Amino acid sequence: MQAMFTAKSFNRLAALAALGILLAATVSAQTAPRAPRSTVIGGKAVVMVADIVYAFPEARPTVLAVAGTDQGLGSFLQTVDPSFPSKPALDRSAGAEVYAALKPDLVILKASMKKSLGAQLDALGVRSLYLNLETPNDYYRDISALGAAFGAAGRADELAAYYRGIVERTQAPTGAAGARKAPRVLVVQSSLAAREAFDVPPKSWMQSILVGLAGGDPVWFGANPGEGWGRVGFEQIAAWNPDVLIVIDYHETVDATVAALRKDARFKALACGKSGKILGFPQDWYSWDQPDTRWGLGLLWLAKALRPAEFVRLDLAAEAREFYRLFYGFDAASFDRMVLPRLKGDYALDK
Amino acid sequence: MLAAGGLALSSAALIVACLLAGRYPSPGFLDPRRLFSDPTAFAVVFSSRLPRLAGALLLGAMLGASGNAFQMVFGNPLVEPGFLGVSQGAALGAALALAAGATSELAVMGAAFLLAILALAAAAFLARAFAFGGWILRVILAGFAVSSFMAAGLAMVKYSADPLRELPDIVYWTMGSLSGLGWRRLAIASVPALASLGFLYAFRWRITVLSADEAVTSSLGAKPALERAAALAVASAGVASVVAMAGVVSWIGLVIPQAARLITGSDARRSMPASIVLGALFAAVCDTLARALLPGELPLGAVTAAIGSIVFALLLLRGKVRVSR
Repeated sequence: MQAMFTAKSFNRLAALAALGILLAATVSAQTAPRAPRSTVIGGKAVVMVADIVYAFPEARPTVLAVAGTDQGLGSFLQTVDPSFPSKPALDRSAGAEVYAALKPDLVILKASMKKSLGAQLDALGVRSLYLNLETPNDYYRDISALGAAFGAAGRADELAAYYRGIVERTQAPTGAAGARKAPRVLVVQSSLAAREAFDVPPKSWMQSILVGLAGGDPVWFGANPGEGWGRVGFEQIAAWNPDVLIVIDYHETVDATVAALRKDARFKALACGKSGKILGFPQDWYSWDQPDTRWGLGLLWLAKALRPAEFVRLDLAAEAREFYRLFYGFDAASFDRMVLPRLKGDYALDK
Repeated sequence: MLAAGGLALSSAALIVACLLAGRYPSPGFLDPRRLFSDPTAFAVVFSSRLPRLAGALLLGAMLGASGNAFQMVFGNPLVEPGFLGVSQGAALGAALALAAGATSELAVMGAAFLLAILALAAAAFLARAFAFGGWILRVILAGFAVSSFMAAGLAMVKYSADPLRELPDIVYWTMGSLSGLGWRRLAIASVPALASLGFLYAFRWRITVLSADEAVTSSLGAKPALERAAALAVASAGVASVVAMAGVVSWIGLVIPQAARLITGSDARRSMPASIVLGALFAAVCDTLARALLPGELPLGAVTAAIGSIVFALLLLRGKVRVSR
């Protein structure tokens, strides 16, 4: 009798629990945002946003429209998504109504766009997701947010692990092994008057963070207290006399600018000129210094450039091959055909 | 004679001081002996500072001279050389070129000069076409309309520019800077600027006549409409060339002519050379500050505005802002 009662009670309890789970799942499905079926990627600095969204295969088929992603060296995403050229290209300054007209389930923008578009998109009932993408820690958080939005937590973990692995690999040694003097590094963006004026990034930007992570001593900190690029002249560069001068060029291939600087008698007289350490930051469709998905490659390259003895075996082309496979599904043949010919700058560090 | 000699000597000393002041090898003045022992010091002074100093002298001289011409012709101490839309036109031209991805400095300079001249032509056309007021009022209104139109265009280009690639260049350009000025860009800007300066210097006695009332001007044998238009067009073309070289640099053309007239009196025969010299020295000092004060470059337009506005306020406090007819 006792055993029968127990079995009956157990069956009732199990039925109740199943009902509870079913109800909870129903309520949850009604309240939690479902994975978007249509997505729009826009705003300024859209390159960084679009490239990380496209690293999620779950997100790619949902993309309805993207703002212009060509920084001057071509549009990368059409190599990932054959339908990309047929998608409407939005203006980077498009207003909330333009996004609403596309009736997307989700609009993904850089966090800096929230101030100008956030309230309007909310008022129009358009769901939006804002990504910071300015530092490695931002990347971990933003990747996680994208994973949650697209129901792809596993993929998010995989991508975050890739970046964490690179940061660990490039960490400068401490103690006796790390007692060496950090090379004095200057990172400049070549300006319109390429050989006469140069722009340095602010301390908080990815370029500056990467130099620190790679074990360099950034000489320009303090020269640019602002939030954008700050200009310095040749004589300030001469006063800093950096051991390594790293040149970024977003407008065109960096090789011509670097070649001109190497020939310039003034730069030849500096420490970086004497040691042959005037280097062009690698680039393909985009320069690897930016807070774009390629920042991991940029960090690896910087580590090898600044601590060559520790990274003798690091093959940047192989690292790039792995990056394109993991993030965008490029097989070896696709990489050789589409990416390899585009690699510019001193990516091989063979000089 | 002695005073003129003293003035020339102090001007030369100031120019040498500007050449030696900077960030290399440390903030302050470079020991001239270092020029013979340190190749980098030699390169800094002769390849980097010297073209820039020459550019500053040209820029200041042109803005001072044209400012004086504008203020004399309009009989108004509050007009400045960019007010016919030339500066805003040049800024829009440069911004359009930069937003279109132009990487050649010649392309940017060319676009700036072209739109500056276009703005001048538009202002001249509107001034003739307006059916309202006398010629001075019409020119002022036309300049106001063209400047506003060009400024609106500039705002739109800036708003839609890529924040990473284009916007910093556009913003920096609109704040004025001689950073990155090499001999080639200086040589290109020098041709129209020196021609304009030469004309204004040679025409200075006529500018004094043109500053008089219409009846007096005509009775002295001048053709006021034609000669005023010629003076303004040549001054604006010179301004367009230096703005294309250095970006928008405000206040020099407004304040320097007033300081010059304070010293020499309103007669353009004396105030014009004084405006040229004072403008050149003022721009040289401001650019040295922009280059040497901090590790990062300060925009030249911000430095001239900061100092110029203080000078302007002092002149106003002393009741010295006027054009005597």
